[in-house]
Amino acid sequence: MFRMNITQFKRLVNNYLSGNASRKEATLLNKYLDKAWEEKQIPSDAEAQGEGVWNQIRLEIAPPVRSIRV
Amino acid sequence: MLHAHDDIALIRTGDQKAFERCFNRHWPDLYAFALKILGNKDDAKDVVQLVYISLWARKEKLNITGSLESYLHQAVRFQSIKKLKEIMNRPEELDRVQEYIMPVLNDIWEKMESVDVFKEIDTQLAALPDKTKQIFLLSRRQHLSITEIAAQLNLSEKTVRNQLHIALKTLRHHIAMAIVLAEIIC
Repeated sequence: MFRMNITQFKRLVNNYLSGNASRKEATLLNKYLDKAWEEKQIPSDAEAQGEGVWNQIRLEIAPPVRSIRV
Repeated sequence: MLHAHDDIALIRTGDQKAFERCFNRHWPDLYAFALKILGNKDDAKDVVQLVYISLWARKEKLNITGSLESYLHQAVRFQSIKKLKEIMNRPEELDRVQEYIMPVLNDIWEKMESVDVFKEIDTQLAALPDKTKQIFLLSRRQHLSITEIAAQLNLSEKTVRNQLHIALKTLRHHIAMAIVLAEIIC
């Protein structure tokens, strides 16, 4: 039975991102993602992790501070 | 109470409070989703963070036709695949891919292959002459013996045997695959 290895998976991901995946390759990756969505479990530290990420985002999106020359 | 669609309009105008509400509303699911895809908290956080920063950067041009939830879901999906590509270029991460991602992927692959094989058997079966198909189905699905089939169809046992041989020869490769798959799945 054929089993995919990392090199083949890497090729599949590259094909997918460049829009060159075969229908079967795209289905495989989409099924993997669908399964991840269905089976996801919110980790107990999600809230704490979220605070950290939000602080990072806030810094990134903050308008640049203008320095005033005296 | 503000709804999600109100927040989209407010985000377009640069309202950071609305943006923060949007983040807090969707963060748990999006984080859990990226984590399930990638199997690593830092990578999952990177993905969701990137999605939100990019959403903010393009806020004025934001053209969301469906729900914001669906837009974010798709964005995390796509960014997670890009992250997968990045991970696979890091030699030190390959063990994680091998242990966390490949078994799930290969499990899905095997199920897809088995569906293909059974579909192919049905296709090949449909292409057989009616009498051959009928004999094959009586033998393999109703488990009748050659004698019983011959009696039921008013044929000689030799004819039944020949027709079964033709059917099996046609389906041989796919049946062998199905048996292998059945052994793997069971």
